[in-house]
Amino acid sequence: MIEEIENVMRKYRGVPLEFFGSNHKSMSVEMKTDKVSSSDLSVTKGIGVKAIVAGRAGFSYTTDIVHLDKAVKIAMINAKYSELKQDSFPEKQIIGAVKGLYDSQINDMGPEELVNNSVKVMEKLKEYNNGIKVNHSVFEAGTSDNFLVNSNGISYRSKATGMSGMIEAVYKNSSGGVNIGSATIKGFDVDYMVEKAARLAVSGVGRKSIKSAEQMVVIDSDVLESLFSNTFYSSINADMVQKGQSVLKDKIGQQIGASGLDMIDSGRIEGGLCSSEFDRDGTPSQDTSILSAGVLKSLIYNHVTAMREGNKSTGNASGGFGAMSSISPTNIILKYSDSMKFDKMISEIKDGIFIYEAMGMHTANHITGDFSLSINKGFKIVNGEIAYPVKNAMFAGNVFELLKNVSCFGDDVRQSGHLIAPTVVFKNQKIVG
Amino acid sequence: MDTQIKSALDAVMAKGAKYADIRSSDSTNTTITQKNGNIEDMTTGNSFAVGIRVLYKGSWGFASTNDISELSGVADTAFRMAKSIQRSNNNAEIILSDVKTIEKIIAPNYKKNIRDISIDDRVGFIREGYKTAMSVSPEIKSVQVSYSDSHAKKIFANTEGTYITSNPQYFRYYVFSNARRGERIEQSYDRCASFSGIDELIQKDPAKIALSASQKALKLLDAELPPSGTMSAILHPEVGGVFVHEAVGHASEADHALRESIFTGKLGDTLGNENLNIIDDATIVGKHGSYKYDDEGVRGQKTQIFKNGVLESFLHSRETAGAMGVESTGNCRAQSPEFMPIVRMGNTYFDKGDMGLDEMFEGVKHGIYMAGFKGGQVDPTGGTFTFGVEYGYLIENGKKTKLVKDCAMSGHILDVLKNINGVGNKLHIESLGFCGKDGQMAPVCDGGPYLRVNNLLVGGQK
Repeated sequence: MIEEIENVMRKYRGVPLEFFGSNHKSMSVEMKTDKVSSSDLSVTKGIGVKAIVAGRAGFSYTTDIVHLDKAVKIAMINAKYSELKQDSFPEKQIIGAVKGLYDSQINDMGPEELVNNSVKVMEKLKEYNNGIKVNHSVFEAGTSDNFLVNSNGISYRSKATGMSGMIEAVYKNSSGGVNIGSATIKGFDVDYMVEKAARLAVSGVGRKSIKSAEQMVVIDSDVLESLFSNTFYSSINADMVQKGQSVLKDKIGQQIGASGLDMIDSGRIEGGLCSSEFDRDGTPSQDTSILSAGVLKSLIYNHVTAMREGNKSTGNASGGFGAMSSISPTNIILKYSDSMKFDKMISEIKDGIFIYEAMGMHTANHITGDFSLSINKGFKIVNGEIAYPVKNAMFAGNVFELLKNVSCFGDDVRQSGHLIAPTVVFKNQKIVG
Repeated sequence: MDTQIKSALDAVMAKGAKYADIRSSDSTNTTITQKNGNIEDMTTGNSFAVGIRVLYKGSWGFASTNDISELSGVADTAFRMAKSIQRSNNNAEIILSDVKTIEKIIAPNYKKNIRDISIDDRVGFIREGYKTAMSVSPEIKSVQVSYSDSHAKKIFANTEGTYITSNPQYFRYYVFSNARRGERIEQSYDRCASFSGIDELIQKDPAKIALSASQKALKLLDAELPPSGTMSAILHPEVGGVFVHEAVGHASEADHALRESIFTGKLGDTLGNENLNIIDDATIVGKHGSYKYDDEGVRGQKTQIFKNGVLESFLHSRETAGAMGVESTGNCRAQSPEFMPIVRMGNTYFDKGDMGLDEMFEGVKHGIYMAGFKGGQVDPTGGTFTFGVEYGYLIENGKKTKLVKDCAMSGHILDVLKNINGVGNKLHIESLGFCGKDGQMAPVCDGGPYLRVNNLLVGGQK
């Protein structure tokens, strides 16, 4: 593959070119109503080509390497119509290794191992409570083999594995849904999954209505990640800010969160779900402080948006072979000055709601940060104890207000999507019942 | 390719498969995105994918690739995948409902071929939208317009002898307008998308779509955050469509009903009022959720889910129909050949009733009118659903009063179905979008008449 690319680069010498190739293999096993029902092995291969002609970038892609020359020609034609200013591609740099992103055991896994995993999870759930059924589960193991080559001499390659699991456990008419993911087998925490799915399903029976009130809201890190994905992450995206689609325009240096709140985008964490050695543009992954003591320190950039401001990319280019790079957070570490043991944190809440699952995230306003969510799995906290599951309740607010109203962090830190955070307590939040 | 497909299917049958099907798609896609007046993305791509699904005893195996030369190997993989899980599925049987086999080339339904549209024409649609959207007001500070189209050759073949070839074309056109007043930013959008050719875009007029996006964004600058609590709501057909999709559509998908869903075991039960009539219809000409055949080679059709308050039918694939001893309703769809097909909606709507809009408003003393599609979500197991809207108005004594925005509602399916007490007399099936399920997106369309629903929980920030 690299040889073909080098040939094409020689042919179009003088035209800055970038090639991103991806070969993704993914295997999954699905279970429905306690029975393994299907298994799937998919391979997706393709290559994307970016060409710069007269300071403008055009793009094309193909799933057939035979058409590489044609793809380059199309990218060059597209560059003539494009108004995306780009003078150059990133220069070659030393790329440091990031550990824990590839596990040969995941790469070599057969369907039998995923079947065993599904069955094991089902059995453990039934050990917890014999009345639990697996309504639906999907376990998946995948390997990505990516390369990035450009005419500045960059030729990087990375291989990464990932394992993910989704389960919906049902007890009577109550369900408990949990998703987990990991780059390695070692990090694949099946016990966490089983305990949480079983607990949510069993304790979700007997839901009661509640009255509308302002109160403490306890948010599981899955819910916080989902909320950030639909609001905050787009607000720190440099492209959105440059286009006037973020309320954080001109807010660098200003206090936007609670004074004890730190947020770091960290692309090089060992075994991190969103770690990589280099980003989609070929910029080495790095650490970027987003919030420090609640003050906005930086946005996240890819190569093109950084060049526009005369800055350096923060290594946040993302995407596959089918499109030009976009901007996405890597691992987002969220920390707060005041944290305590999870149990103690809950025990200090007199009146609150614990939200494990909320629906309607994608209807949140990604610019203003306003949201109105249906609490699908929530528990009332009374005098420091999780008292009963709630029904017909909503959580309405604004993500920027939420950042200002942090009360306390727990100690149960885990990664959910981009976010590395524990359970978080927010004060003065509106619950509608 | 036909010979390769047929021999791959023959090979898995010779190994002992009960059934197999192959889907392939060879497509060319163009995407042009303009941000703030500059074409920032100009992408053309070519992608091929083929997927094969094999039924061995009671298990499905599936495999896909981008490389046609690997087809026979991929077919073998699918067979091995099915076999490898067979021993763990408790000897469950999978019965596929019977369906007529057909050999057919589906004729295109567009007048103008997308291949004949030049890049200049495409850029022209974008420039026209941008110019109009920006011209609406100096408060419109930025506009993003995106256009994409694709044309493909698709094949469906199965071991029963069905062989369907089609050459679908598709485009979508979106305009996002951002209005700013002081610190406040509001965004709105409008769109047009169709499988019926580019004529649809010319007819809908890019300038009109852009005008609508900017006018809505401006309007939002004056909107307040909504109140909260339980109240009566009047739903614009676009919002009513999402409501139907979330509150009824998903739970009536038979794959949900065969597991644990709020409708499990309730077929034939009266769950709502006389005026509760809900239909899924893939045969309406030119809608976003219309199709001739689903991804199992079953003809798309019209299915009455609710009739006069009674749950009449689920939406089926051949597998779910086989499990319930009925015929497939032609609702088994996949995002692409790289995915196994699953039960999906097409065009889902609430059938019209007899209430005029004035009468509907007159009946509301204190409530909310909701418009502007934003999307929704449902938990078919527990029965809770939610949907969000872009804007709305408070209703006081039958009259629209204050403008509000970013509002969501929530409810429990079985409660809400009994609380629909006004069904308008005009049908609009125009709410086009994409529905996500099990990691796959499917083009759908929703609609209905104006609806009035009592006792909905409104989750306002105020």
